[in-house]
Amino acid sequence: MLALVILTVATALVFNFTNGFHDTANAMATTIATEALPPRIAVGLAATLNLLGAFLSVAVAATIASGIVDQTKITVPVVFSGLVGAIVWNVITWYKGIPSSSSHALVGGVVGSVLIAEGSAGVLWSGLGSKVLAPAVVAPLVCGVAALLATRVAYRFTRSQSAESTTTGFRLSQILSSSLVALAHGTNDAQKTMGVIVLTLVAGDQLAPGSGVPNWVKISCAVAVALGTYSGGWRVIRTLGTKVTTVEPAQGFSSETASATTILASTFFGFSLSTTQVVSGGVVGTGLARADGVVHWSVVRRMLVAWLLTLPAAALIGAIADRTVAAFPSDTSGVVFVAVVTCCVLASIFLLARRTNVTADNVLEEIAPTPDEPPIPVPVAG
Amino acid sequence: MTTLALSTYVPADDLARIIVTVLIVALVAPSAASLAIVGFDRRRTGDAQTGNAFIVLGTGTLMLLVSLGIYALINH
Repeated sequence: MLALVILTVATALVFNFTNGFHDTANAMATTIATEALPPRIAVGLAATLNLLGAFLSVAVAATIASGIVDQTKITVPVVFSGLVGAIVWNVITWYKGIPSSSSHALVGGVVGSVLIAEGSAGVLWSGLGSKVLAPAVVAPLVCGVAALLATRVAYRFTRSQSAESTTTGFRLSQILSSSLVALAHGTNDAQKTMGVIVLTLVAGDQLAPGSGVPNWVKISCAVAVALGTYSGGWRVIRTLGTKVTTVEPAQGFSSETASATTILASTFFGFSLSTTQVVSGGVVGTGLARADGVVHWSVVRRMLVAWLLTLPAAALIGAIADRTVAAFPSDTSGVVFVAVVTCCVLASIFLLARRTNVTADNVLEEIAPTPDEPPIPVPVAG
Repeated sequence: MTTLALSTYVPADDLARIIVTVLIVALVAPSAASLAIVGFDRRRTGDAQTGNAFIVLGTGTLMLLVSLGIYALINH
């Protein structure tokens, strides 16, 4: 059992790493796009704030899977399979450069493995609706409207100021707002993995039910998410920073401010949101606000399709992993086999990604998007 | 209809509070940043006193918002 627990905890940390590099874009895509910070400095700052954020509070860790799946049905192989579903989907969407939700991938993976292992009684469908689906619909819309409003205010108040002052001022302000998003990401997302590891330790009889989060779990999760963030998900950064719309410093600040406020206000009132979806909504909203701005709807459509697919796709991969583990005579051998296969799949995707490598050096090179339809000019702004 | 269906999953009161908070900050934060930018321009054109006052007010408001954000993060 101990070997099984160790493998699952390691898999959880790998998930946390992928969560970090997938979500670097949330805080820093627009900051990098507007050149408020050089790419490496931006991801370094995001990594540091994610590390700090992971220690700010452990409230999220206590609630991650509760309310979505029946806790009594959770076993170590079920958690492992859920993590495999989340990791594989995260890496696929990273390869495609699509900003999709790591949190939804995690929930999808766990729901899929519970569903196949325990049947539909193991899933709390109303919890899935209230904790995942409803916020997924509302949060990007709220953030989008707020970003639109903030952008118009920013442009209106500074229209008679010099371009130099406006650019410098909003770039500095943007560092502040994107830092807050990075801090919030560390607090929310590192803790989700802490919750998963605690769940594993309890299910594997290594921790008494109701125990707090051990310090080694806090530290390892904080380090994993920070390392992932520092490695920089450049493909997603490119999409969010340059392909959805062309972002100016005032827009970057407005978008990040709206995102940070939506995430923090929701967290304060007890709702766990997908940072990715909120930030994406903010970027679209700020693109709509500028008189000469364009939003590339073909890119937005790809994002929406990925969001719709995240839960079922991660659930399907989680379910396949669970059945594969169950086909082996012992859980440990099944988990080792699935872990090896998963490593091979991930290595293949990373090798494929090297053909069109996106790094800190070329992340902004393709500023002009290549939509499959002409961009739609957007009216507006005073 | 949508609101009714949504309220099954997200309490309407909390949702209203979140929306109001987000919209207020969406107005206040860019106004504060803009005020600081105007302040810098004023200082550059010779009106140092007004410029400094705008900068202090603008950056002070932004810092207050950041502090509230961190408070929300720690005390949720």
